[in-house]
Amino acid sequence: MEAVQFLDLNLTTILILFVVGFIAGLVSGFIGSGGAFVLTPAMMSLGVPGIMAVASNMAHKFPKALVGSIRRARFGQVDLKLGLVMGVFAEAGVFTGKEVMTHIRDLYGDTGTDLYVSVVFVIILAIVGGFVLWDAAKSRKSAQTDGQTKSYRLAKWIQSVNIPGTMMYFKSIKTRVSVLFIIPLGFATGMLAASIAVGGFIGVPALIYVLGVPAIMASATELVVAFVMGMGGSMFYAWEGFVDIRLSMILLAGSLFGIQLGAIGTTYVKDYTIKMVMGLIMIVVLFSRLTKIPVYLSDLKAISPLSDKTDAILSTISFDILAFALIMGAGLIFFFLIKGIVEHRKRHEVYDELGVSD
Amino acid sequence: MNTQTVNKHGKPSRAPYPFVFSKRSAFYNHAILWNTEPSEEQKKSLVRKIVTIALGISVMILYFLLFQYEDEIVHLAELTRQGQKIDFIVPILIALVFSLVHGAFTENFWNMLGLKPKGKEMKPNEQKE
Repeated sequence: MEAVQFLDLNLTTILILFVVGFIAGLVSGFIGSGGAFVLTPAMMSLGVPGIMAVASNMAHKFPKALVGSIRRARFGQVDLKLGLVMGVFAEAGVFTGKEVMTHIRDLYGDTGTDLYVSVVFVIILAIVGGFVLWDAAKSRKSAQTDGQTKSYRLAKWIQSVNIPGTMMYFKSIKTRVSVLFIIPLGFATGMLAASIAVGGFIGVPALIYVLGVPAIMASATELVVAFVMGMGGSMFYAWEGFVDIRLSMILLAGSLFGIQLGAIGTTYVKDYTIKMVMGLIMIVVLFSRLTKIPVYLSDLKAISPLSDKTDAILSTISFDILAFALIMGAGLIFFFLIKGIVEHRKRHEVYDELGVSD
Repeated sequence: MNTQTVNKHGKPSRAPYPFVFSKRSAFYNHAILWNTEPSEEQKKSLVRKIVTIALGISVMILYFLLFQYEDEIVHLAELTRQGQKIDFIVPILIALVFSLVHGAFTENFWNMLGLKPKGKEMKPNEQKE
């Protein structure tokens, strides 16, 4: 086994990890997942070896998902059964995803896996993020005109299919759905989680558009999926001795403050606001990975080599865009949270005057 | 002494803005507690505060212990790599314990600052009781 060094912690490192953890937690609590993708590169830039950064990130994500799902279950937003069923298939996806990554690494080395991850990132985020944003804009319009959330054609069709022996009732969908449809969704979520560390980018939209789960319940149920997946993955890495639990617990210290605040935020906003924030974060992250692709292609000699300077500039831009995505997400969540609270209190002021309650 | 203010219709008034300065903030309730016979709600709020502080202290103890024994914990991970596989359970257990205690603390922490989910906020009619 190669020697993997544990990081020497000092006050600055602890503070950086705590703050990044907080912002990541805030985003995760609000959109169901998606905050953690910046943590692996952030830890690596502090000098943590890649595999340990991935392992410690995962070991902080599953307890965080546990706390988040307990919290949101109290708001009645979690469909535990759906989360557990999807989580089990997601676990299978995680292990397949890891095998694919190992295979690519054997063939093309670390740069090969980096390129694979980036290309997956760009394609998935472009399709899913674009669609989520388009849908958020559309449901915003329809919410203004008729005040209702519409159901999706695909979800309607899936809910109408009856395959005997595979049907299961889910409270979030309010009907029976065949488990056969949940298997590929869970599997894809797990595959994505193993490749780019954010399974929720597929999991949440899949729950919304394919199964017809309301966005607020989808992001809450995804936390259960993330818990099941993360716990399995963390055990796997802990078995190999790669988890630096000190790093995980510092990230957790910050992210739990964030995730609770993000979860409170969801109760003050409309469904389409969550979709909008999710879509925006996805699109910005896409550009971060896009910037890195020429660097990997040049390393693999698929294009003419880039100069060291260009290489460094592109890498910095990529990381900065990633950080911007997270800060922008956190800013938007704060904005909507404060706006929601102020509006809520103003409404109560009027209710107080009229002597009614909502 | 009743420090509750009322609006022109005789209903209890509510501050439109933020949490720590609002009528139901920790500081305000505290002031009432020292001046008047506490109501049921004020008693509950005091209990919640004590629980939050207790949880906060527990979190601090947990983190103190984590860093006190960091060398041993790092050594355990190295032992796991060398084949003492049973130690893999240690980081998982640490993660679960920390998440439950710290999770409960952070939830109460935001509540104490007045940041509550929309559905759970007190309604005007409840306030009169």
